[in-house]
Amino acid sequence: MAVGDRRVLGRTLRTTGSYLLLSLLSVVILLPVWLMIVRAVSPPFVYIDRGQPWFPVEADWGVFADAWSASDLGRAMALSLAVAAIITVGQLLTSIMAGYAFAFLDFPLKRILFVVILATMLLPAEVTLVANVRTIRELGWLDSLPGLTVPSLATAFGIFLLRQTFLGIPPELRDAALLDGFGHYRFLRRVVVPISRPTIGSLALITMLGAWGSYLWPRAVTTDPSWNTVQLVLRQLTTQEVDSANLAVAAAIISAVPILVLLLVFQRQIIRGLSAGAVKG
Amino acid sequence: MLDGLTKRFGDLQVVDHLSLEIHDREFFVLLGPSGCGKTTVLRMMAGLDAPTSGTITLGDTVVNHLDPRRRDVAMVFQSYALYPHMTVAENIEAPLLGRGGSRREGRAARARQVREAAEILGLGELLGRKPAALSGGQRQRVALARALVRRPQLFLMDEPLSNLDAKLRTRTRLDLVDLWRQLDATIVFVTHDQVEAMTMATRIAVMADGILHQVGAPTDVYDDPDDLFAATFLGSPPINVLEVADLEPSTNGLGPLPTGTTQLGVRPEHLRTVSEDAPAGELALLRGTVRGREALGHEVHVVARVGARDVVARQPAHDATPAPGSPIILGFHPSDALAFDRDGARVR
Repeated sequence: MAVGDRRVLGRTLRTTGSYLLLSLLSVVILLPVWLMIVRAVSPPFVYIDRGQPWFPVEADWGVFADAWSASDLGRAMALSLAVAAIITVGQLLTSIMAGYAFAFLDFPLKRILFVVILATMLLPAEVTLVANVRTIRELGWLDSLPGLTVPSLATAFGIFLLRQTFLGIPPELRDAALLDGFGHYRFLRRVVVPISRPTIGSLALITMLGAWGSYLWPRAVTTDPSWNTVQLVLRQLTTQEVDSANLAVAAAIISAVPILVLLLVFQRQIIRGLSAGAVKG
Repeated sequence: MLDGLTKRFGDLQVVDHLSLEIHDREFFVLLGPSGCGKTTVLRMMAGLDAPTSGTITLGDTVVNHLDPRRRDVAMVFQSYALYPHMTVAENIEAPLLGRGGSRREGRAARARQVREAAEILGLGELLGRKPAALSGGQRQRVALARALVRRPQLFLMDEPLSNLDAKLRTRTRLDLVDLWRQLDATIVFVTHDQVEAMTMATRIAVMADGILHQVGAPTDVYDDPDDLFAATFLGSPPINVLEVADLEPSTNGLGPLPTGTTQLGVRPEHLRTVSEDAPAGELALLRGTVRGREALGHEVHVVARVGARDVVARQPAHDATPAPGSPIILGFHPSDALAFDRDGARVR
């Protein structure tokens, strides 16, 4: 066999190998999603004795419409969307401004303040839950947008992430901007934020996902069902009768759609953001 | 004009009572080894660092407490400091925006200024590109365009040529001098490269360890240095420093030296090989052995061991030199030798 042929063969084998591995990984990731769909469209009493089927049994695709109408999923999703949007915008604003201050400004107690902020990352949300809920109640913010959003408008993680990113901006750019006559605001808006866009995008996405999926906090500060967020509605559905258990699964699938759309739309930015640290440029 | 300018970082004295007068329309070069404080001087002039003491005057105004943007100076950074996310045109436009010029004259006027600056530096084709898509030389020109778009009183340049390859650097030196003439501007240029200083400057200031050693026209500093540091920093290969005590009094033929002389500086181009039997005439002679020769094509550097040190002589390319290891006599005119005292100060 000629050397060239052997090389071609080697390459073919390698390519085949990587595609096999990727296919396998795709199956591992997609299988649960598929099983969810199967479970949603198959009426529970059909398979309840036989265990989870691999393919739909007596498929009833109307289940999604049923799930939508049986609960107030639409309202809950709108509420969650609003909550997630407010939290994301708020967190971006506070993280960008605080990150900028810690990266570029000099002020008394800067280090100590930063350490204090970082230290809050060590406390799990559960630890502060009771105290925070009491505060919200005293403010009269139970069952309200402020109650759902305000405590999440600033996080140590966001501030830390952006401070680190901003510190990575070459100091000469700050000098150049000073000479170009940029004040802090203009430097922030025209240089710092555009340069850090991948990281800011990642932070936005992480925050949005976190807010959309959060359960504990909304559960703690809402009493009125009309203030139920998506996750609370899903939880309610799962505790209803066994023979309509597939409704909850269908609702869960519906609730994932906005996230899916978000991921698809921002796919390129997300990949760039996640690999921003790894691959320069 | 700088008066008694001092900068301390903690205990570290970076610039020590520096006083300098830079004239209008001068190409002034601050020359010194890395870490000598020259960049700090530039940054203080720009307003990026505040002096610990001393005053900086631009024109008739003391600018110590003025923001960089109110000083009417532009700076070209060693790394160019281009905004990576902006196009070439936006980079050049940035100083016009920051100045907060009246909005009414606005867009069209700015676009015209950007075009003019780009034209001067031959960047017309590249206006839509981002810095990442430019070569080093192109980036450097964008940095220059960004500096001159505002037509400032004073240009500060921090080793702007050091990131270019050797060939491009030589060409850019000439381009910069052309640009300086064309703009009719004052340039303060920082470098550690004595060739840049010699070729471009109208005057140079030699600095070391935060202290100013000498100010003058490049050839004056080269021919008539005030101290050993200025003498050794200019010239390649550097000046030969000889201990007077090492020289044999009977053979050196130096004649009387100024009192206090402990060291002599002799430039390599002032040394030539002398054959044993030729009359020495009024030359002072150094006897040693050949260590090696470095042929550069247009000239040869002969390295000879004289006493405990190496002495370099610069000779025409085709002169015969003795083989390594053989004895050699190098002669120089006593009037070409520069005399220094124990502290390195010039004795005349």
